[in-house]
Amino acid sequence: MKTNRDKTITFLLNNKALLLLILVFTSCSAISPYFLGMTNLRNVLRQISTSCVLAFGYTCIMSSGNIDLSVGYMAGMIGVVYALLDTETGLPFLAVVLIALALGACCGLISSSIMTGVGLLPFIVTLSLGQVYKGACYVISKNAPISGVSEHVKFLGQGFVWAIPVPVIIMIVIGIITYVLLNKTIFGRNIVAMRGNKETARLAGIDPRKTTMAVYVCGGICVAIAAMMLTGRAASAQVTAGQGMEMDAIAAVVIGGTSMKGGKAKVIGTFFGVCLMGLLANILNLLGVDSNYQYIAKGMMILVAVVLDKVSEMYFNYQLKKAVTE
Amino acid sequence: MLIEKIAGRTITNLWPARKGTIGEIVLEARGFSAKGKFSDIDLYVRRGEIIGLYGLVGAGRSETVRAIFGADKFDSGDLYIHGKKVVIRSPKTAIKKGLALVTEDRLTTGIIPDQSIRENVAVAYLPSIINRWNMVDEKKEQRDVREMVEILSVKYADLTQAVSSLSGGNQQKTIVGKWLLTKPEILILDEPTRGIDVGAKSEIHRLIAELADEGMAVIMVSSELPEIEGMSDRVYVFRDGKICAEFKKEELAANEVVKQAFGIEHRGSNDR
Repeated sequence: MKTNRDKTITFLLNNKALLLLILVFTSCSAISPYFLGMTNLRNVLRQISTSCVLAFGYTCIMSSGNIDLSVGYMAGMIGVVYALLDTETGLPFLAVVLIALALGACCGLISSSIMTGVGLLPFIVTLSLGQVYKGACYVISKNAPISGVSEHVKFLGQGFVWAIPVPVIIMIVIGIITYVLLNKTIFGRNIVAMRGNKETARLAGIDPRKTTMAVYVCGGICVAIAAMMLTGRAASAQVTAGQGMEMDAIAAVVIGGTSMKGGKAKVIGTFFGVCLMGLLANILNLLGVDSNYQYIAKGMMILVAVVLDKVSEMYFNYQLKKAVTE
Repeated sequence: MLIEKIAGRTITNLWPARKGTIGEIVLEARGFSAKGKFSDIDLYVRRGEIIGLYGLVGAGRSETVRAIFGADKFDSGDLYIHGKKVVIRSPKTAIKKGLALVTEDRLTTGIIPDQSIRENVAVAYLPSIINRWNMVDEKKEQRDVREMVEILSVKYADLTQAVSSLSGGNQQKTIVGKWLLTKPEILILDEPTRGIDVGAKSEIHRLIAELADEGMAVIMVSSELPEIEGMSDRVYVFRDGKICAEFKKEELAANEVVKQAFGIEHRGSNDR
């Protein structure tokens, strides 16, 4: 029998992202008078859209039990290539966008091919490839930012469509696609099945290699989109753009409730997680706190999320044991 | 009887009666070999027939059926389904060709422990219920899964409960249900009643017999002699990776089968 206390705890743990968000949001409103201003909120929304797109791609990767530590440098590299294609070649904007997306997909394909082909852990493969992308980024850009991008590029990062910032629209579209992909398609079911028990899934006709590769390709495409949004917003490709984004993405996904240990992917949870990280950074800015403290705050947030994740797992296992022995 | 007290009901016939007829050859394997595991395996199974693969642990039976199913690599061998040669190199192909494999170890290779009953039962047949956009028809899934677990008399509380919370026998039924949803022609079962209580054992035997009566070609790997004797229409005995004997139901004599499995010479006669 589930007691009321059990039910409450289950609810809290299942919705920890949303609840934390509400908590932080109300605290922020109380702490700073500037917080609830329209300009501020719109800025926050615009800033988190880029991380959000990345985090959605990351949700796919993490729900399959994998990880990608190269996304930050990948974003930087794609941004540089994107800006160069735009400023130096006469290629139409659509072609430039497609090349950038293809580049992201390729990076994902490369990581996953090596991982599944040779049988290496994602950690080491993506870590090493990240360094490759970092180097490539510096080499291609010759260590200098690339500016003078076209109006189209700027539009993706700064434009509006019917008073809604373009990045927010992109974030919503990608969010919906990710949700449908992970929850409604056979692809999403295969990912979760594979994560639950790879051999059982394989014997049931799922191809673990293909599924893993598809997951990383999705991640790569999201990185490319995020890179284009970043370049658009800064109206230039910064050499260090995107660095450290993987930490934010991991944090958002874990806080959001998509556990690396399996179970359903929570796309909305990821969104809440991104909002949380964004609000944290925002309130620290508004309070005039040294931006270096943001690292500390974010790091602690990730720790809290990971611990809560583990606590959830232990709690649900305990519930399961209780149910079986009753 | 102790057995009846355990099962909670009267068990009359220990072995189910068979009503169906045996038809044409559905699957034939010739010359299957994998170094170190099995060699020169020739076997066939017909429509409506249950063949038993008997032998000691390590005799190469599980390895053989896994190779036929495309789950493991093998060195050589030809497979014929309905007389036509087929090449099966992955479980995905095997399923397409009408094969199903209930593995030996249900906990590690049969179920996805943390997932729900519904997800476990549906996992293999999903490709058959998707639309143009690869989206799963969830309503159909719910209907099909519910129908299957009811037919199999799986004891459960809710389709969303984790499959690891079911008893061994019910887990096994779930796994069989998963495979039945793929509408196979050839059902391979590896130690289907190992570690299962008496009541569930006889239910599963009854189920296998019913499936065969309805036309399923069944390959059953088992180390339990009574099960082999009671269920099989024909028995292949494996020893050290080779098939050393084949017995028809009428020819089955327990001591002969065991002797073949152990490789004991029959006293006073010319033998292989």
